[in-house]
Amino acid sequence: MNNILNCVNDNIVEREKIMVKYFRDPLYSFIKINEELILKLINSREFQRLKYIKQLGTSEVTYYGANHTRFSHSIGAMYLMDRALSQLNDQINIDEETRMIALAAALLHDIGHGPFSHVFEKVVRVDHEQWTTNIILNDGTEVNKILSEIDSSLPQKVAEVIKKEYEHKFVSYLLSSQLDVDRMDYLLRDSYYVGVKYGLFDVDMLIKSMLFNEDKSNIVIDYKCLYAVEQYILARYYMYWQVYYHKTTRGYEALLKNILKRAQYLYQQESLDIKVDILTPVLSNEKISIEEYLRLNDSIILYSIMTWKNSSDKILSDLCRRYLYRDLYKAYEFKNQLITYDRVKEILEEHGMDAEYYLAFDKPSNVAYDYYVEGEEGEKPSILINRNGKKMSITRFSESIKALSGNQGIKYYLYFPRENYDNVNISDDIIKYLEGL
Amino acid sequence: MGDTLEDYVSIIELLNIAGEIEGRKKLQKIVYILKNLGANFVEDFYFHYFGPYSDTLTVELEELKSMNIIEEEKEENGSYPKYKYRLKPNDNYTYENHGNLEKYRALIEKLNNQKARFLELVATIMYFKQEGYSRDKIISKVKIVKSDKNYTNEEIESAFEFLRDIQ
Repeated sequence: MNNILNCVNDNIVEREKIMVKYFRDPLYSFIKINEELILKLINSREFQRLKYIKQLGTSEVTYYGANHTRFSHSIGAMYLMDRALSQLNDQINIDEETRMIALAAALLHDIGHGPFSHVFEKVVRVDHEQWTTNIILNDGTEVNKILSEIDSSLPQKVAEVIKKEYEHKFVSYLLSSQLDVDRMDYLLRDSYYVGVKYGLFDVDMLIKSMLFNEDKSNIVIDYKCLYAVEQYILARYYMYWQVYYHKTTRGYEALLKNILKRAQYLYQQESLDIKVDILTPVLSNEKISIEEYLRLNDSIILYSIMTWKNSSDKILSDLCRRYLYRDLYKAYEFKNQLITYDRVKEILEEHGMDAEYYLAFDKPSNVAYDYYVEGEEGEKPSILINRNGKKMSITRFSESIKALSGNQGIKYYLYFPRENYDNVNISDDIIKYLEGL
Repeated sequence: MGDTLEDYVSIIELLNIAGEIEGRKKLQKIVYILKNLGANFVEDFYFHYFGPYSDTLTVELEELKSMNIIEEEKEENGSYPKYKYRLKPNDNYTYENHGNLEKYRALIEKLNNQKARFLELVATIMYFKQEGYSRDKIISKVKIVKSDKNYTNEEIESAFEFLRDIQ
């Protein structure tokens, strides 16, 4: 790892020669980056691919401003990581090697996301975190080469931070915990682009109040920052119910999932009439190589939907038409949570609709995002508040968070089409049945 | 797709067999271990600070609570709350075992008799084994990621032995 230190020292000596880049960010104004390693990683083809993957996937249909990408979020997370490290550096000396590993991990933490992120993961059964570490560790990728050029163990160490196996645990904690730079950035960024104000919180105060615990493995928050932590947890709560679990967005996701499922089925039956070669590895359900995976992005899926709209398969073309022209499923919020759908299936089938593709049940546990749940000791680390040296969970200090935690008022939705293929209303019959339960 | 409880069948069946599970951590680790031994659980796990963890499972417990299917007993003493889970008597639903977990009955009882701390270690070793790490590498990884737990060599050895027995 001396190479990193040499590189850093060289950077200092040759500062004048090193390119300094300023990234204009809507949240933080100018982000100044003069670390050669970080600039090279940003320019790598794997990182540039994130420009074509939207941060919020299908939320754009509900909130038209929500078209920001994983590219800007990743730079934002790296920027907040740098600020957090700088704050903590006042308490212990964080060496340059650890700093660079932490910045690289924050920058690359989402590099394995597939198109429309979580929808794609569910259908194709891939795990973006696994892909992230695969991309970092595979010696054929540019990010791997850039990291390895400095030190051959660097890819492994960056991957360890993401997998929470890194020796300096506080780095993993800063990147992924109940109060981390990933969440802080996406809440602020999503809130900004969606156009809602309830996702905002005082990020400066949160970072300023970060402290180490006794063995320097974990981060605790100074009691003076209690209200800012409350605000952050409330922001998570509001964003969860108003944005991430929005019924329209979730219905759009269900539609997209069914399009991919139908295309996959047809491909495997050898009856997909319009082929999109780049998607073959996905549809064939065979092992996808890194090269094949890195070719995928949101635009490829949208292009496929546009072409499949003209498919001779009635179901596929209808689903694609609905997707493109916003003819979404009807969302029915449950009043009675214990129901069977057999009759709903029958109604759909009486109208010539295949329930496999025209009926979806959604619940909060399907959502990739989460809200703050008070854990028990050793379950999932709580946000710890430090008051006069005593460290306890936030719920011990805050009545409002205690009231909120574990009491979320769960909602469920059933999705089905409003009309059948012949434009005959079917949702009225289904709702009438559901209301009578 | 048949009813709203379809995705929860295995959790309900687990609680039906176990009777009561003390602690969310224990429940998480039992599900992880069973899933890795082939039981039919749909929850995805990833590696967290206290071993393999599923956010989905955490939210599912909230959902089952809100549906009045399970009972959560929360004990507030010390720095952290403690939870117990059991099925709730319900007139609208009968807890028929679907047979998914019947062949794991003895194992479920065995796992439920262990302490959460030990199951955390067993689940962590299981996770690292799947990552393809050697025994020595697993031991050194455990000592890094679980440094605060101070697991002794004897505990690590007995966790390996326990895994051999149940696999």
